[in-house]
Amino acid sequence: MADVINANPTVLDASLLPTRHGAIVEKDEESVVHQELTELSLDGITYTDSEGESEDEGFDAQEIYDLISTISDPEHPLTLGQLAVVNLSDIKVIDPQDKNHIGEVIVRITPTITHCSLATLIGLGIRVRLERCLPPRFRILVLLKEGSHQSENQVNKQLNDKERVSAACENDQLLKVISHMLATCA
Amino acid sequence: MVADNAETTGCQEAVRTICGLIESNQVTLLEFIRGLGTHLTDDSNSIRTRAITLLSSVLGNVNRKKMYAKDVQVLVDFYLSKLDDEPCLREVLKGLSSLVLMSQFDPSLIPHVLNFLVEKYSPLGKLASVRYYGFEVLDSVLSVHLEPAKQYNDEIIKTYLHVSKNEKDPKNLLLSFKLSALIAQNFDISKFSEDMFDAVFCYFPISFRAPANDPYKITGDQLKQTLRDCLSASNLYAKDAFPNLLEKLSATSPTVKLDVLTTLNQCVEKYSTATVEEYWITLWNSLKYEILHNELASVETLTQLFTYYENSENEDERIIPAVLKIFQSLSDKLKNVNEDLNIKDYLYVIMDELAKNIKNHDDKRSKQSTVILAAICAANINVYNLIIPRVMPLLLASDDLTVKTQRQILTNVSFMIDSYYILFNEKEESIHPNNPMYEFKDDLLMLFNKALLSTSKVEVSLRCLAVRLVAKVVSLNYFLADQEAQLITQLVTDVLLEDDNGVTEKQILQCFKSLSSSYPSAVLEITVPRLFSFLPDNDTDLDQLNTKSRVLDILVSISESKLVIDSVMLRLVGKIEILIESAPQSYVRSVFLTLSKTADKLDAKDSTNDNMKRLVPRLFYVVLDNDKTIHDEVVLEYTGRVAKKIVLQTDTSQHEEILRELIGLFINGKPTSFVAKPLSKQLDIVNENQLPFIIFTKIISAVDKSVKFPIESSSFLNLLFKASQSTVQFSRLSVVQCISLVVNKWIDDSEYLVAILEDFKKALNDSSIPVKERANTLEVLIWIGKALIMKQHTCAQAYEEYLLSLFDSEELHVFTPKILEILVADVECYQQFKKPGPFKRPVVFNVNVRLLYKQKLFNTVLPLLVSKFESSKNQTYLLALSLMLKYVDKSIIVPHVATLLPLVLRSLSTESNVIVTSSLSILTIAVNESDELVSRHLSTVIPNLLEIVNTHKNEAVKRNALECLLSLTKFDLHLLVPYKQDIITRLAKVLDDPKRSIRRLACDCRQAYFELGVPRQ
Repeated sequence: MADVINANPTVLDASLLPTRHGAIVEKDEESVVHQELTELSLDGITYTDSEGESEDEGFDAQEIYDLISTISDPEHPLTLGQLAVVNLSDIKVIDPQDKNHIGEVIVRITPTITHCSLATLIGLGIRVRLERCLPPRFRILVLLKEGSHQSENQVNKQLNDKERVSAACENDQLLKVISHMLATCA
Repeated sequence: MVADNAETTGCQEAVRTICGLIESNQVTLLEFIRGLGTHLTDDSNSIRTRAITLLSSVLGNVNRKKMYAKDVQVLVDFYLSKLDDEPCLREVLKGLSSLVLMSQFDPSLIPHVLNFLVEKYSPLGKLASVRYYGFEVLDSVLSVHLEPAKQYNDEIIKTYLHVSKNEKDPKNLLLSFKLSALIAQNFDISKFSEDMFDAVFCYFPISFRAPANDPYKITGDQLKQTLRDCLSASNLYAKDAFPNLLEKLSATSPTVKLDVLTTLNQCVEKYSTATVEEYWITLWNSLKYEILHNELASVETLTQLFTYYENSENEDERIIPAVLKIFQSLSDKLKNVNEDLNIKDYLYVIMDELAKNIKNHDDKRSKQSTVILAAICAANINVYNLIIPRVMPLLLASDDLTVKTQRQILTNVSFMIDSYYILFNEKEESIHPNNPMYEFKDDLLMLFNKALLSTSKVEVSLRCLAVRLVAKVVSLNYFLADQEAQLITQLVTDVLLEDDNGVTEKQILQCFKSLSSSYPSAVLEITVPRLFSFLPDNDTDLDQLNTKSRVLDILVSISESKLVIDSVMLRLVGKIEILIESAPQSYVRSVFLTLSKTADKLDAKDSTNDNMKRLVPRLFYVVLDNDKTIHDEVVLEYTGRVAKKIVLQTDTSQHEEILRELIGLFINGKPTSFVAKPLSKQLDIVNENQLPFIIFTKIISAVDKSVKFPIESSSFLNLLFKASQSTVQFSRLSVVQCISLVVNKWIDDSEYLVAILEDFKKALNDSSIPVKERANTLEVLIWIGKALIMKQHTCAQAYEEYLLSLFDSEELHVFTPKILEILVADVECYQQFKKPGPFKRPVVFNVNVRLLYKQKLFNTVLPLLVSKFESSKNQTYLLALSLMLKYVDKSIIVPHVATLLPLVLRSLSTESNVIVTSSLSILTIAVNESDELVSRHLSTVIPNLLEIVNTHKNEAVKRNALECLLSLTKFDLHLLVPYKQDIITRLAKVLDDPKRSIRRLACDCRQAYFELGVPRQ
């Protein structure tokens, strides 16, 4: 890349990005004590571990955010989350719970500047990431946030045109750039 | 007689022989030279060169005392006359250099030699190796005859300038720079200072990079450093060095800039104060914008700032610490406040200049200016004393208090506080009662008050900044007086009890760590009572924010030093005494849990002798005298943990008494000083309520094993056997572990052990006894076996064999997997604790555990299990293996991976979660440790793993399988390509797994396979 399009973007502190709270449920201390007091006893051994029935965890915006916010920006060593290109509030998930019904994920991205020519590339990266990570029952829509780009409609059309997306994915050069962007995801 | 090539071993051997002959006086030097005779002047270049080579080599190797002054002089003349002999020049210079080193070399010859060198020898057009010896002659002169050479000041300098002309070879330059620095330091170069400077500065900046197969291993950094040593070697260079270096600063390459700055710094350090003074303002003016015009990273301490930039990958960024270091070196010149008056004035100049930026807190350069001032204050205590009284008022003065301004003030003050920290905490400068920072304590307190008490709780970042600054101030040595520490404690306690923001809370608790360790009494007097006042006497919380559980958690986290921990524990016991009758069980239990967590925070080095006297009796009395708690296994467990921790860290000389008294208390119901008041009902844990065994066993595991057991151990065991026959669910393990510990620590009598084994066998084989009762007996036997196996007792083998033979027992074989699990399990009662033993080496004092017992057991059991499984296909063996693996270290499994792998592959499709999980963990080990083995089985492994992730219900199994799939990606590409598409396709279903963490892992796994084989940029 010869010239950097936006050389000096605003960067958010990585530790302040939205994360899922209370994800780790601490094991109840008392049940730990009870388990310790009986675990190695011969009394009533069964050899199966208790199958804790737990509820299903549906797809939500945070999960989508976690998937795409770690994608690298093509021109900075920063993630899309840090650059506020993707924001939690701009992700919408419709998950019908029933696995036979179609769901929808809508991501609205905010390019760092309104004439950013990389917006399509970023959008494509997000699209590829989501296609790889979401079950096929989800329809994926990647849009530019209203008023965030000069040629908003063109880019939106390009990003959600199946034919053009799959044609882009045939392009080795483009695929290489995208794979570089996704390298920071795992 | 003619040496061929001086470098071969044969020649070196010949030279050594000749030297040997000369040194043992068998041949005189004269005879040797006469032998060389006309060859030395032969017309043939090759013969002459070889003759001189031999002579020079001998001179280089022969004992330096062997030659007479006359010989030396004759040879010197001979060699000097040969200086125009082009073909042998290298050897001539080499011989000359050896002659100079001779102890009989007359220093008065020095000018003679040097003049000849200047007149007859010219480095122009000579090979690099020849030129090297030109330098070496001078080096020899200066290394041996430095003092006498000083008479020939000008000759030396002229010769250096002559031989160093136009040098380009890196090896020669290294020597040249060394000589230049040596000369500049030892000779009067005032007449030649410009020439000397130009001779070396023409090389600056060096951009040398060693070629791949460089035999001399010279690095660019080495050259740069020696050149820097040259340039900083003499004050006389200053007038040339500073302007020239500063001019180079305009270079665009950051590498050059960095080199310039490092060189400038060394010059400032090395040149005399008077010299540096002249250039002080010039340097300041040329360098200040490097800092002032840069955006600085958002770090909070000076040290962090330096490390952040110095480790930066970007060379541009490394310029910042380099410049700051120059400022520090400049300030460090202020050694004596009364003498270095100019420096003092200069410091005032820069301070006044920066003051403009600091006065206005919204100035863009205020942070940069503060950083510069903080850095120079940290350089030297004189500067600190000079600057702090002038800067701090500017930083602290402020009329309007927007949040932004406050944040700026806090950041800036924090940097200035760093200079105190660096000088008095890190460099440990002695502190004077008039330290200028003392004057600003009140202002600092005001600042904290403003930031923490009169801002909205929403201003999280500002409040956190303030709290971190408080923590920093608290950590300063000799800074706060007790009363001020109390004020600060009061302040942070108020914030802690009012602010419900999680981030702020975390910072405050962090701050309490410094408070608790630096000013424990303030925390004890202010914070602890406040917190306890929020603990209700019944179940209703007294405050919406400060609920019981929040207060209890806070109590644990602020307990940092022994003093605080002791007080918190005593108060908690006091609280328990009040609560125990009326409060609900869950509340009582949580207070006990807090007590146990607090006890855990005692440092391993803290002695708990006093807790044993003051805390334990009250705790035991309140727990053991209450009908509810004495039947509450959870409370007993927590009490046991506290008691164990305290006994472990009590002086071992008291352990005998502790053991005797507590056996008396728990078994025989005797009163003891370890219980505060006589119990209303005597204890008898063998025949009555056995739950207190939970405490008793923990104490047995904690006491020193070298203490003599107070009663006859076998009769004590019989009592325990009796207890084991009638025990209940929650005391069961404690009873058998108690037996195990007694055997492990105090019983060594083989005869007795064999005898009880026979008794056990008889009881177990007696099929008239119901299986349930026999299981009780078996359990005791297993734990005795564990005790013996862990200490590798001679009887261990017999126990082990008998226990393994139970696999074939019709009724008892269901227990066998558990037997193996128990034998290798890491249980809390066998946790090892150390104390300093002989020669101060830490030794385990509480249990007997041999290092390799698990490995040994595993090595015997594993082949047995594998062969039995192969012949019977009975899953019990697989289960036993799986249960053992939970406790076995990876390194123990690795050697057996080859044996286990076939089993693993077959068991991947079984139903039992336990077996599949452990198979997957072995598989993962195999993938990581002996990948070749697995790579042969990929056609079985991959489909099996995909089947598991798609069909299995258990979350842990799926997670292990996905992790295993992920770790396969490290295999060679060609092995995986056939499966890539299949893996990607079949993982798609897992993307819809009900569990979020499994979905995420599937994403990562798929991503890894998508990327497989895609070329990296």
